[in-house]
Amino acid sequence: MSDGERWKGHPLQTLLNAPRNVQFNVGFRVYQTSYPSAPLYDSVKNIGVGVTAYLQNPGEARVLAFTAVTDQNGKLPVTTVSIAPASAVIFVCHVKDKTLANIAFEEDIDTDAASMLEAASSGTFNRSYELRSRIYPKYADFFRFLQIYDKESILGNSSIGIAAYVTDDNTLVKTLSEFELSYRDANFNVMFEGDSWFHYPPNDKIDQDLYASLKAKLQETFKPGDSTPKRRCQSVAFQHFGDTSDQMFSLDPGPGGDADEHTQFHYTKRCLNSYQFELIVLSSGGNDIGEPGISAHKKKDDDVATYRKYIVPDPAVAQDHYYDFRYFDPYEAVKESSSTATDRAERLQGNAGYWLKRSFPILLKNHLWSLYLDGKEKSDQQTQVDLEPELTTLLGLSPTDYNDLGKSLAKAADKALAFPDPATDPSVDFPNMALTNSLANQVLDKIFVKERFKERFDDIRANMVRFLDHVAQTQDTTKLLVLCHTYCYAIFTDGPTDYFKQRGPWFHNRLRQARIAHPLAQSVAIKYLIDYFRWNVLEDLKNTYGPWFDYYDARQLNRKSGDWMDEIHLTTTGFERVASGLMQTIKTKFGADFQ
Amino acid sequence: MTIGVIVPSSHPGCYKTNFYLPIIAAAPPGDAETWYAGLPVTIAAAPETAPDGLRITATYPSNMPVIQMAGDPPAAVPFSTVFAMTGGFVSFYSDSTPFTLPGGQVLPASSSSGDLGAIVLTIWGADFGQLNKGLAPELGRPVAILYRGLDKNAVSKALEGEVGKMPKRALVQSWKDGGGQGTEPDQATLKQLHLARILAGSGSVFVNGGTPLGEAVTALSGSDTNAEFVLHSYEVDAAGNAVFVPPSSLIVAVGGGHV
Repeated sequence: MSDGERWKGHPLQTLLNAPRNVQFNVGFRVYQTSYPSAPLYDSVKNIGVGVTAYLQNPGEARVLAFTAVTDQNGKLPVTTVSIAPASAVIFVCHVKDKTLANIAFEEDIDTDAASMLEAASSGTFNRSYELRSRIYPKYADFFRFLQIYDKESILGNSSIGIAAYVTDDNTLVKTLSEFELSYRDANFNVMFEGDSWFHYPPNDKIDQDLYASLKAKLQETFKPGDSTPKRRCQSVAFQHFGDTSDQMFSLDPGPGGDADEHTQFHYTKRCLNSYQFELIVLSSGGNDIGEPGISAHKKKDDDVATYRKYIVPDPAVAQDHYYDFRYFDPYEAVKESSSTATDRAERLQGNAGYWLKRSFPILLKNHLWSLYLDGKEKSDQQTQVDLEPELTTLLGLSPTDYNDLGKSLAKAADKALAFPDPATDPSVDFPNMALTNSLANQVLDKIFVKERFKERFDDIRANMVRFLDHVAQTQDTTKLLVLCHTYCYAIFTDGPTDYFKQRGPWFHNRLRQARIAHPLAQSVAIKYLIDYFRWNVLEDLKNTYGPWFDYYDARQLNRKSGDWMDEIHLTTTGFERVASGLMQTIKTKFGADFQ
Repeated sequence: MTIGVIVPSSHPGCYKTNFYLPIIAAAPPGDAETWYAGLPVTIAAAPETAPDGLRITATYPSNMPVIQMAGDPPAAVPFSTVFAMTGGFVSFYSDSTPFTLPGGQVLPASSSSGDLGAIVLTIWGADFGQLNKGLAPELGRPVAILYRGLDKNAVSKALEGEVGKMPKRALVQSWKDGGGQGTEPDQATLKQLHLARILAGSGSVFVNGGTPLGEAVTALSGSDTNAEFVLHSYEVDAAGNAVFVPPSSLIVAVGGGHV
C-alpha cells in the first residue's frame, strides 16, 4: 500500500487538504540576456499572451484551473480559484512561434510547479515569473536520441546509454542547462566545442581530458583569492563521445535522424545565436581520422588474417550494432540485391558502407577496404609494404638501426620526428605531389591513397569553416578568441584502454592490416597526419580568420610513455601539460589579468 | 532549556523508513478511506503560524476512547495517542518552562495546568532524505519535529517499552553520562535511570516511524473528549538558527507528497 493510499481519507489529511479559495496575482516577464526583462506582451500587435494555469496533484493528470491573457504589464487579471493545498500550480505560457522582446520562441513555456500549501493558508498566491527561451530541454531530447540511434558515437553504440553512466557525458549535457540559467553578458563566457580524441575522457575515473584540465584552470583563474574577480567564468560544453567534425558541424542528421534538430550543429548554432562568448575552445578533426567506434575494440581474433566474413548484427539490439563492423571482409559482405550499385560502399550490408567511407583504413593504400573500394581483388593486397629503402635513406639509418627500431615503438616514434614537416620542408607536399621524386612523398604515397587523404582533410576544414562562419555571423569577434590545438606526436603504443581493455588501439591494428608492420613506418604515418592537420587545416584557418582564431601547437609535448594512457589518449599529466599551453595562448590574447 | 540537533546521517543496517501521521493510527490494509470515515472522531486544526505551530484537536465520544491499531493481533490505543511521524531520536522536555530552539528562539511555556511536556523528534537521516522527495519544493526541509502539550505520564509509559529495547551497553553508557559511578546497577534499574534521563531532557531513545510517543492532553466537553497538542517542525539555517517549517507540509508529504 503506498503512502497515498494508506492515508487517503485520514481525518488530518482530509482537513489539511480541504480546498480553499486562493486569489492569484501573477505576472510574467521575458528574460533577455542583454536588456532588462520585458512584460510578456506582444507590443508589436498590441495584444496579450495567453496563459493556462493547471493544477497538479501527485500521481494524477493535470487539471485546468483557469486561462487568461496578459495585460500590457504582463500581468494576468486577478483570479480566485478553489485549490487543494497539496496541489501545485503550473502556468503554460503560449509563446510558441511568437517573437517577444526580440526573442523567437519555438515552444510554449511551462513554469516550474509551485506548491499551493502556503497560498492555501494565506489565501493569496503572488508571483512574478521570468520566462527564458532555453535550448537545453530540446538539447536533452536530442541527447537521448543520440543514445538510442546514433551508431557513430560510442554513446549511440552502447544502445542503452551504458557509456553515459560510466563517463561524464550526461554531466556534460547539463552544462548547457547551467550555462543558460547563469548566463550574463558580463561573464567570461566559454564554449567548449570539443570532440576530438583530446577532448573526451575515455573514462574519467581513470584520467581526465583536455576539457576537464582547461576548465579547471579557467575556474582557478576566476576563483576569489586576494582580490575578488571582476566577473564569473561560465562555460558550456558541446561534446559527446568521439564525434567527427561532420557530426559536429553538418546539418545532415545521418542514419536515424530526419530533421535539423537531430544534428549537433543545430544546437550549437542556437547557442551561438543566443549568447555571446569570449572564448571558444574548438577541438576537432582527430576523430575524422581516428574513426571512433569502427576501429576500436581489440580482440585476439581480430588480426590481419582474420577478418570476419560477414557483418553480424547484434541480436540483442534492434539495429545493426556497428562494433561488429570492425574487421569485416567487404568482399564477403556484399548484399545480393545491391550488387549493381555503382558506389561499391553502398553494396555492403546494413550501414557498413556508411562507416567504411568514414574509416581510417580507406586512407591506407594496401588495406583490404581500400582495395575493395577501388575495385581491386583481395589478391591484389601486398603481403608487405616495404618502406625500408626510403626511410633508411631519408632518415640516415643503417639497416641495423632500422631493425633495432623495429623492436621498440617508443624509439621508433622518436625517430619518426625527423620525418619532414610540410610546413617547413617543401620537399614533402603529399597529397599534392608536385615533387614526385622526393623520398618523403614516395613514402607517403606508398602508405596513403592521396585522393582520399586530401578529401578527408578538405572535409574537416570545410566542416570547421561552416562553424567558424557561423561564429563570425553571430559573435562580436573583436572580443573573441577561437582556440584550437594540434595533437601531440604519439608515443606509439598499441595498448587498448578503459576499464575492460576493450577499446583501441585505433591506428596500430589498421596499419598492420594494411601490412605496414614496421613501427617506424607506422609512426611516420601518424606523424604526417598530425603535421598535415596543423599545416593544411589549422594554419590555413588562421590565415583565413585572422586575429580571433588561433591554435596551440602541442605536437612536441608529452614525449614520455608515462604521459600516454593508450595509443592516442594522454594521461591526466599529459592533458594538464596541453591545457597549460592553451592557457598561455589565452593569456596572450586577453592579458594575464583577464578576469 | 536548550535542545541540540543531531545532524542527519545514514543509518547502518537494514533500517526501513515508515512515515506516519501524528494522530489517529493508520488504516489496516484495504479500503483506507472507508475505514477512516467510520471512525467516531473529528479533527480540527488551528492555522499554523510561527512560533505557535499547528494546534491539532481530536474530538471523540468519551465512551469510545480507543482505536484499533492494525497489527496481529490488533492493539487498542487511545484516540489521544500521538505517533512518531518519522524515525529518529526522541527526548522529552517539560512545558512548564520556556523552550529554546537552536539559535535562541524561545517558545513560551505552556499555560495549561498539569504535568505537560514536549517530545522533540530529531528526524533520522535516512528518513530525512526520503521525506525530502515529498515536501513542497519551495518550503524548508525540517530536521526536527516538536510535539507540545503531551501528558508526561503517558509519554513515560510509551517510551518505557522503547527503552526496554536498548542494549545494555548503551544503558550503561547513559548511566555513566548521568554521573553514575561505582558498581553498575542491574538492567532494570539502568532502564529506569535512562527513562528518567529522557524525561528530564538529558537522554534520548531511538524510535521508528509510527511508534506511539504518548498521549495528547485531554479535556471533557459534554459527552465528548478533546485531545489537543501542538505540532512544530523546523529546519536549521546556515547560522544555526531554527527556521519554522509549516507542519502541514510535513503532513502532506507523509500522506503522499507534493508534486
